[in-house]
Amino acid sequence: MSEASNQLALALTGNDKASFENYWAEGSAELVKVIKASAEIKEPVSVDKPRVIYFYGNSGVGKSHLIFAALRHAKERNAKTSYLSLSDAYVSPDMLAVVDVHHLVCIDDVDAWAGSKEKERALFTMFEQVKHAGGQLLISATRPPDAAEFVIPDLVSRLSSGLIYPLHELDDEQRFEALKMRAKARGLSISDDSVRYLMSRSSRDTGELFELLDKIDHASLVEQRRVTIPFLQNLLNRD
Amino acid sequence: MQNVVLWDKCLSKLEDEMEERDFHTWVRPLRANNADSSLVLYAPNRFIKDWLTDNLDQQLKTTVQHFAGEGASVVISLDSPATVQTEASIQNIVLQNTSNEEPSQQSSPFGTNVLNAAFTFENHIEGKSNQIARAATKQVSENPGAAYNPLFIYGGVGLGKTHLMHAAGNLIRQNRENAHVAYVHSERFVSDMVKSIETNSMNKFKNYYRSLDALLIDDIQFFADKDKSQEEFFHTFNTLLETGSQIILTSDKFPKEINNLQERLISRFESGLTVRIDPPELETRVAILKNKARKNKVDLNDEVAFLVAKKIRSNVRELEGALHRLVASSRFSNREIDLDLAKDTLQDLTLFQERKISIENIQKTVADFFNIRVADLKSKRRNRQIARPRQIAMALAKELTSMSLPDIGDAFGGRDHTTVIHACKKIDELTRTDSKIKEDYATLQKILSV
Repeated sequence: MSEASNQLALALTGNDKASFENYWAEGSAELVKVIKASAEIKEPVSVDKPRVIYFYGNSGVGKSHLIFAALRHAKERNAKTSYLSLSDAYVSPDMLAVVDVHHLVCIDDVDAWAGSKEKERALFTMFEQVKHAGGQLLISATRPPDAAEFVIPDLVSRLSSGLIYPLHELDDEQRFEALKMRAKARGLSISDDSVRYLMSRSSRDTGELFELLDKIDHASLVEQRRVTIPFLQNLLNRD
Repeated sequence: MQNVVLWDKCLSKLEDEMEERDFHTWVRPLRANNADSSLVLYAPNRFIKDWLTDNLDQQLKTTVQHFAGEGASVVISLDSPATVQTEASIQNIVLQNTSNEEPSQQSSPFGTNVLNAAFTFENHIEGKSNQIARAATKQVSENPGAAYNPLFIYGGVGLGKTHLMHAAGNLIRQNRENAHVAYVHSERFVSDMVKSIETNSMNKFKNYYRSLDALLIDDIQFFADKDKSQEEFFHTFNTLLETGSQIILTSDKFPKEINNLQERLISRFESGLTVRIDPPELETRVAILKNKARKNKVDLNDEVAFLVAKKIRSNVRELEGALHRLVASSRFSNREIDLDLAKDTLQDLTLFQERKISIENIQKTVADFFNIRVADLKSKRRNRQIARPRQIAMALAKELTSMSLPDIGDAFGGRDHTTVIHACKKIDELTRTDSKIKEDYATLQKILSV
């Protein structure tokens, strides 16, 4: 097949953007409800309520997915939001200083800035501004505040004042169900045996498995083939 | 096609085409508006405008032309500060009307040096750990400029320094309605000063800060390394002292321990009264929790309050975090706040802490503290110099980890679990009768909980 014919309009494959509906919430149902509620708030948050929802877990547990789901949920309700991923090289302390702090501010990978006094100070200042403005922070990290190796204790204590949730890795059974749910959300028909085949021969990282599912969906559309074990075998061998 | 409708269509297409991270960072915050034959996209700040110009110019143009025809053009512009300001001001008004915070605000040319009316002496929980600091602050508030000047309050994070400071400001204002009191975080002082230099309004800055009746500066340690700010603060400080105005400062450290602070400032800070706040002891933590629960109209019984306070030991903000989690868990799982719910919730919160406080960590900390070797703790030696630290380490392991008693015994040279029980009983008894052991044990608890 020529390279040109391998290309499909991206819009065709981008139909499973992050939402609460396509997130496998087993074990983190309370967190999902808390985040959903925060994305529905349009009024300034009163001083007694938590300012921060902080959740942490290893790569692939769905942290960014939850943040994007919150952003989407807020957008559907015309609530204003800001989003910054601190592992993005373009994002600087100066940029953090101009974020609109009056509504839901989502910060992905907050511990990417741990260890830098200048960056942590920018985070601390933003936290104080959000607090005074009645805004709310939705923060993801790989570790809890007191273990994230921040060097400014004031920042740690402020991050600890909110709702803190761990996000656990899915076990094999949960990963199996999550993959099936994800495939269904994409309209991709894949048998249980094919899902098991995929899981036994590729990464156990859920995020990477989802990426692989995107590839499979794309290849199946381009090649006009059903997703079967021989098809997967062929596809995985290509990589 | 109306431009707003056009932009909505473009947004949906771009959302499908772009990485979600890029879409939400750079495209979602844009505001679209009408212009003759082009779509004007307003970026809220120059970072977004620059990134779009460098990275997405062509894609934006293609997308707009896809819906509006080839003649359509896109202009990326910076949103006028007035628009952003107006929106922010409107929301500020809403905030002041709806928040429980009721900021008692006085006009300041430098933003809002707001006193939080919710922080008073009446709702400050007194305990052994903060009683001297509280008494001194109250005295200063009743006789500003006369009692202790400056008052320097120091202690770890989240122990209530800011609460005391606001309480002082509120009491000063309560006793003299027109008293000119400013509460400012040191970062804010620095940024106000930088802005004043940039806008050539340094005199206004000086006049404002030097004409106050009381200046309350929080987290003074953030002045470290900022020579220019220290210089200005030094002069402000002297003027205020000369005119009999009250100064209250807080810091996480004793003045001399703040690195990179000018010597003359340190000596000024020490010229008044320096008081320390320690982490609250168990009973105070329980009282704080119950007070916060009452404020949030949450029913928290003693059993649950004691459980939370025993597990969360380091500071008040973490206690607050634990209470928020309990309330959220109760609300979203439709369960009452009882011991079972508290145990489940705390498991999440102390997961890392418990992993961090390992038996090895306890043994090493105790050995270092008593100047003995870890091997001594595990040895058969039974002389007092070794046996007592061993008993303390065992009691700490029982209190701070979730290890079983046989496992703790094993970790100390294969001792029986009854030895661990005996050690725990002995230490419990000694902490009530021997003040030295009590102090050592409390210090070790603090070291291990940080």
